[in-house]
Amino acid sequence: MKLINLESVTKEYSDGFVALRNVNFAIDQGEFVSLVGASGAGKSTLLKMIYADEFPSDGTVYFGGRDITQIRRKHLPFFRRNFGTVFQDFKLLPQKTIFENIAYTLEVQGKSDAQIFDEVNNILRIINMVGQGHKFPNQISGGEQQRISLARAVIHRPRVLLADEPTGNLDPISSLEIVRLLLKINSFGTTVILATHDKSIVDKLNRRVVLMDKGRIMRDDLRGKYIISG
Amino acid sequence: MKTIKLARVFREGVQNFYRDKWLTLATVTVMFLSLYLVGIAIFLGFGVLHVINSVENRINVSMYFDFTVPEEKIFEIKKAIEDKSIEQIQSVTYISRDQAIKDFVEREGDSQEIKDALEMIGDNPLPASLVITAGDAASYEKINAYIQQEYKDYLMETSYEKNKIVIDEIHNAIVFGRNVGIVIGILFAIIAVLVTLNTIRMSLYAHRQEFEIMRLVGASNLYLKMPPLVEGVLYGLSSAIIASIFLIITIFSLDPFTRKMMHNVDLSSIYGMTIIQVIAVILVLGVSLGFISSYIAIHRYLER
Repeated sequence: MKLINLESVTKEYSDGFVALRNVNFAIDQGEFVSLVGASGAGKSTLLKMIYADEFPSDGTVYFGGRDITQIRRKHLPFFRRNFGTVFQDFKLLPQKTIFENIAYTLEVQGKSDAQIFDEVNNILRIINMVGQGHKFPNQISGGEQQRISLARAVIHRPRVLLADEPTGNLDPISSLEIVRLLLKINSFGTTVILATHDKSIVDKLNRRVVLMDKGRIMRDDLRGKYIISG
Repeated sequence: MKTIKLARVFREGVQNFYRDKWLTLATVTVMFLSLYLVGIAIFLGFGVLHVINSVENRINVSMYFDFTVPEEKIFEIKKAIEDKSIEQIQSVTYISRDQAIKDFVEREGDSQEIKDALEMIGDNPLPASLVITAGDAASYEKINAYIQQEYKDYLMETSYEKNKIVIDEIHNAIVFGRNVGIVIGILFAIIAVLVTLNTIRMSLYAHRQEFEIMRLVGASNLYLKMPPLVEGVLYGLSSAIIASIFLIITIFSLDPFTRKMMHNVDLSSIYGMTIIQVIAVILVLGVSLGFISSYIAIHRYLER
């Protein structure tokens, strides 16, 4: 059974804009998939369908065999704990320290203070930011913020990591660092879905590449390159 | 919700309160000003009521008896009026002729002219009287009518006609004062509620993106709702405390002035109990305003 399965998914907004057109698409547990395509191709919408931030106007989305379009709103927060999310704009909480930002994911799940302390310090070591936990997000660089965001996304060991243009605001060196971390996370068994339009990154990865254009899936290569002509 | 989570949302609320200093300062300032105004309005209300009461207590109607009416008869009438207990009569006091002249001399002081005049008359010119007080200024007309009807034969006159204008004026002032007080109080309260509601809504609006992020990392709705509620209560509590301090300062710094203005009215009872009552009202109002405003605001952002 596939971990994620989209069946004939169409998303049309109330203003008539169609973001996804009859998309059929499946992902296995442990895969590393790059979603590529120009801005507005439907990559972000596809990701939102997967973590139930948006719901299809037509078609069905399954997660672990379960129809998530039928999920009740009050169960959404618990469903979301299957995922970690990383965004272009980092989405860190500005009033919280770096430590607290990462810890928040575990706090809402009711983990003990001792466990949170251990795990956050552990992941700060992995992302190479030991001793910086007391700083606030506006006191560190963009690359560092994205590493914190990544740490927050995986601290609770989600089954899937969704990364929406995580390198969009970063310089090439910071970008490489993020990709290296994504691969490391994937190597522990976490499914990674990376939406990006950064050709150089995709080509280096040599993993499954799904090309989207105007809400449709144009290509799906198991070991692909970002081929712009489609 | 588990205890550990409860402790966390509480800590979170406290953290938001002191970390976002500018937002806290703005919100608390606006709330403090509203609460302060409400406090002043309540205090003025208490003050006006107190002054009205003390003035009302000084109104009375005197029945002046003919010189021929014996003292026993006057006592009989006094008892009859007391037993009748019409129109919320509060007290009936007998003033004998001797007492009347003593009071008169005392009141008029050592004026030589008065002394001369009294000497010339030789006899005590003042009649004995019953002084009747009522709980409500509006009652005197009925009381007077009753007395006139029942005891006309014994009476020289009553002071009612002479006092009527004053009594009517006081009565009108009381009604006017009460109505104005109620309207101003309600107005201030409405303004305070609206201002607080909007201020807290705006401060949560500034945080709306953070709610999205928190939801994204798996925070349940209850976990999102609690910290702003704690924050709202803290806003209300600190505003109320500041408003109370300023109220106390205001009242005591105005003290010499108010005493001078109302030299005949005993103000001491306004202080003490009333201050505690007003502060209690302000505290309860502040905390509930903060809580309710947060509750309404947070519900608007979490309904999606």
